[in-house]
Amino acid sequence: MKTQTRAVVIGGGIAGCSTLYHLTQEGWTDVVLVERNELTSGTTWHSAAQVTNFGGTQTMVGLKSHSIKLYKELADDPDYPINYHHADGGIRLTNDPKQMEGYRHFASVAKGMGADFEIIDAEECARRHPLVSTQNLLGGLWDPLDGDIDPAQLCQALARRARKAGAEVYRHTPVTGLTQHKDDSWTVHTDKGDIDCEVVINACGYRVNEVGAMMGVEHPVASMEHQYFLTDDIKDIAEADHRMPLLRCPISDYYCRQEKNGLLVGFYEQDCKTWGMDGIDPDFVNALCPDDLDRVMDVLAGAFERMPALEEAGIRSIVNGPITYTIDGAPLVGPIPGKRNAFCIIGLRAGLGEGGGHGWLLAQQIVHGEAQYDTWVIDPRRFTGHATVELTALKSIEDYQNEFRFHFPHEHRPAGRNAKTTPITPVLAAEGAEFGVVNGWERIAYVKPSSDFTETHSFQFNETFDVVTKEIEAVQASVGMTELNGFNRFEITGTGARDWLDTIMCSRVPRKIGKVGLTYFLNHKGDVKGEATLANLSEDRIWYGSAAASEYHDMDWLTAHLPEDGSVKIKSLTNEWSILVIAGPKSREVLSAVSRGDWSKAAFPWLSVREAYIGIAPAVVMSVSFSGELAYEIHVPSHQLYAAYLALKEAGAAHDMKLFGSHAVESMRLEKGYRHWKADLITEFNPFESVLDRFIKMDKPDFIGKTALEAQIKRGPRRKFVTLVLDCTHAPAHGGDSILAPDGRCIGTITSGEWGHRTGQNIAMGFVDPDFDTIGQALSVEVIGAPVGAQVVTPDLYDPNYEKIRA
Amino acid sequence: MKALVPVKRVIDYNVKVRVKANGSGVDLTNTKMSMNPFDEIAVEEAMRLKEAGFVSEVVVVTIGVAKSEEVLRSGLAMGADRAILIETTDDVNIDIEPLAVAKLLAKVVAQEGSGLVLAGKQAIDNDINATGQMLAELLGWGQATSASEVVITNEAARVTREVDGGLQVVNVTLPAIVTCDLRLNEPRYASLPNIMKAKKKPLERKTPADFGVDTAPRLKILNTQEPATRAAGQILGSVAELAAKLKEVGAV
Repeated sequence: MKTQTRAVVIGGGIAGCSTLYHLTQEGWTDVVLVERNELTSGTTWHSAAQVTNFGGTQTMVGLKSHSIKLYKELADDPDYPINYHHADGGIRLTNDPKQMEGYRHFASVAKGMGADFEIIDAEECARRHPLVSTQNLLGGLWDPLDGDIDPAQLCQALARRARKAGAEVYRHTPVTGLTQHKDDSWTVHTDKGDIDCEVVINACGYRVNEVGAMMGVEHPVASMEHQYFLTDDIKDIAEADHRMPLLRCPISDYYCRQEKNGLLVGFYEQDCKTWGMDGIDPDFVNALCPDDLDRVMDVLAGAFERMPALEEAGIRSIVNGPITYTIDGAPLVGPIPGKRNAFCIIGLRAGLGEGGGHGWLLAQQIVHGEAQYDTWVIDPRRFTGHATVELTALKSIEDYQNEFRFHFPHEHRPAGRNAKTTPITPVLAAEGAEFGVVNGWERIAYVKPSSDFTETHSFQFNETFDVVTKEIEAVQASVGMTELNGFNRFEITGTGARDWLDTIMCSRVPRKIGKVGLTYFLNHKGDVKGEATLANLSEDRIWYGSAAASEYHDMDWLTAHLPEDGSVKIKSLTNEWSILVIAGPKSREVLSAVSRGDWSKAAFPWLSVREAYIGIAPAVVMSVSFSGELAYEIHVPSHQLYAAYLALKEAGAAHDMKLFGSHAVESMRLEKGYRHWKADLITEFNPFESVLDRFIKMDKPDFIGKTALEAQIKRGPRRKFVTLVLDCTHAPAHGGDSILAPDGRCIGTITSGEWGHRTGQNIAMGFVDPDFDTIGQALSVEVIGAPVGAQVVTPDLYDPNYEKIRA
Repeated sequence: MKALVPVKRVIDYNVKVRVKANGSGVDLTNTKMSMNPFDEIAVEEAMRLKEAGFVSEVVVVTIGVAKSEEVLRSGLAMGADRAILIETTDDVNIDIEPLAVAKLLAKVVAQEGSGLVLAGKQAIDNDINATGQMLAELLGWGQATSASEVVITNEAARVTREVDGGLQVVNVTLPAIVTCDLRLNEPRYASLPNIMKAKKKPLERKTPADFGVDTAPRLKILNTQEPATRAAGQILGSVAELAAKLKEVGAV
């Protein structure tokens, strides 16, 4: 056994085998996999092993396309062929027109990644799957490449290729401990000896937190028991001249696929059960849980109705085993928060289908620092302090119960709510606030016009449209208030702080005390990594503000580049402070009424910062605006937030100040061309492609990514960021929708879309082929799958001369 | 004629058996359990005899922990008419020994007036292969063990047995005990509606005390251990190497 290697992958299921193989493909061949038992002896062993191309985001579709391509190549290898039913096709059924709209949207998302889905009606579903009844069926989404694969053969094939490339696999080698050294390298202790390495990777499936504990980490992963059964031969299948396509049915929460001449049928029952929360038997290897058909009775009736043949079929065997889940249904693939040189590929609930792609993107991150797609949707750092296993268990149960029911736009489900709140969350609730969840934070979405107001979640505009119109009217006419809680906030201190930030940011870092600046930073490839508002509180004290979900991500990046002499220090104040925003032409009057000092335009112009009191509460006030109106961000420590809120509310009464929420903010920021991190700002594009030109200072001596960016400029843009106005009123564009050239070719992707209530326009943002970014260019956008006319416009649709913000 | 089929809840044949670290037995916590496969064959044979009109009613019976109800429900799902659960213990680790089982079954046969007992030839957990024989002795009935074919004629059963080197055909006068071997039939898989119907079929609960039988174990388990693990193999490059290797280890 090696005692020294570059990377040690812990775990020999699909996640570990795929990671090991892809590390060798990305250039690291001196790598090792250790497995406590045999390869494929955990969840991978009892997986139903479906390989779909369907995904909710382009990254998910792209990584699944990689799985499919790779598995096909492995299956076709004459030296070690594996059983892969490639391209049997699959149907996601529905009886709900709103879900059908979702399928149309997801088909458009997939189109941008070269995956060709089809929307089919009920009769066509039954034609393609002769066992399906069209009763209570509207139709479905057809995925032509859907299929299934033999899990053990797949893992062996990946391990075999990895070994051929130089990797080593040690079976029956349990890890007993992990030690990290001062230089951030690791020693992996096993019962067969120690292995020193640069990087460790946790790929431990349901044992994720046994290895997590060895490095002092609690991963937000929980396991759910999941049952499927195999039927005896079914005559219609045995006699059919084609294999049956896969089915996934949100009407009655089951899936099925052909297995031999019968079916494999799995259930997502409401009466579901977590597994292993209080520890897992060390001998639970190639093992199953006792089956419990009583739990799935609620689903069976619907399954029989959809597929009468199931009623007659004998049940050959029942399989009940644990599958890992996370808070949002997507796995955790990437750097382990708070650790250096430690990565994970965990929480894969559809590991066989996705594993090929996840291992690929993880290996790219390990070897190159960044994957070829923006991997935020699977980044372990997307959850911060609230992500405990208890919250994960609640969300896992909810996710399991809704397995095939995707989230609609703005839909936030009830489990595990109030994970992060501020003292005024209940106060806003009493005012009628409806909340959305941003990285666990309950953030006001809008104020319900009446206590019995309910919203129909949809890809179209819904009942909230008029509510948001009114909130924005109040802001525009006078003044509105909202809480921007969870906004990420670091305090950066030290005499060298500003000079150091200058090496991180590709933008100009504000020099003057009392000034605020918007800055961007790049990765080493020259692509956009993040966005931060820097506020100079004093000579050696800077506040760094960024998106609510970015806390761990940004902290990870900044601390990795801190000067070694300790001259710069960073502290997170994210949880200790919150922000009250007042916006609108009367906001200065409200502020002046509650805070002593001169708040005039001359004394406190746009992009200023000052420490002050709001009533009796100490605060940091910034004259910045995400709405395009005159506005102030008032940062207040949590324990005095309520006092500040009351003072502002009282002062606002004179101006009929109303609350507004994040939906109104979303509309207003699109009218101003302001971007959202990880929607419009993604690490797949450089800042010039992202049209952030005015924020990029190429004349600075150096900053991270500058050399790579210079090379990128020479090569020319891959895509260009554009603002579009759509010619429709029924629905906004949604992130992932395809943008089409006049000849119908897919030439881009939407990143954001919302109605502009002040401009009366349906606004969208996105990236397009550079040939199509001219102002006035006519394009079309697939809105809910149907092309709608669109035009490229100048980004500042509202107040282009900044007269309101600077008023 | 009523048929009685004794069934046993055993560790599922697909599951890797784990021996407890202290050697006191097999670890059964959170492990998949199923009906003993030979007992499934017995239930199937009983169902076929019922479908052929030789048997009027099929009763399944089990002796064990409360959870053994699951295997009775499996039997009912295959088509058995009624079930009897004799709950002997709360401890899954106590294996009720063949003599106690046979004594209880003898009482059940008397209570039920069974004319034929179809049993598995042995349980795959302890492989003792004794219950059927003991029951025959206690009842004073004829027995035909390890059946691979059963033909019922008027007052007798003609049973083919697979024995070393051939087949043996025996005639047993009814009532009789027949224990079933692997090749007797291929048990049917229950359909989901039948699995659901099985939940509503009659199940009578009893205890050993109801029959006046003592089920205390007479055997003491001294130690349980896993078979020796197989040593790693070796891949050889040529026939010559193989021949040399075989000589070296004294195999040729």
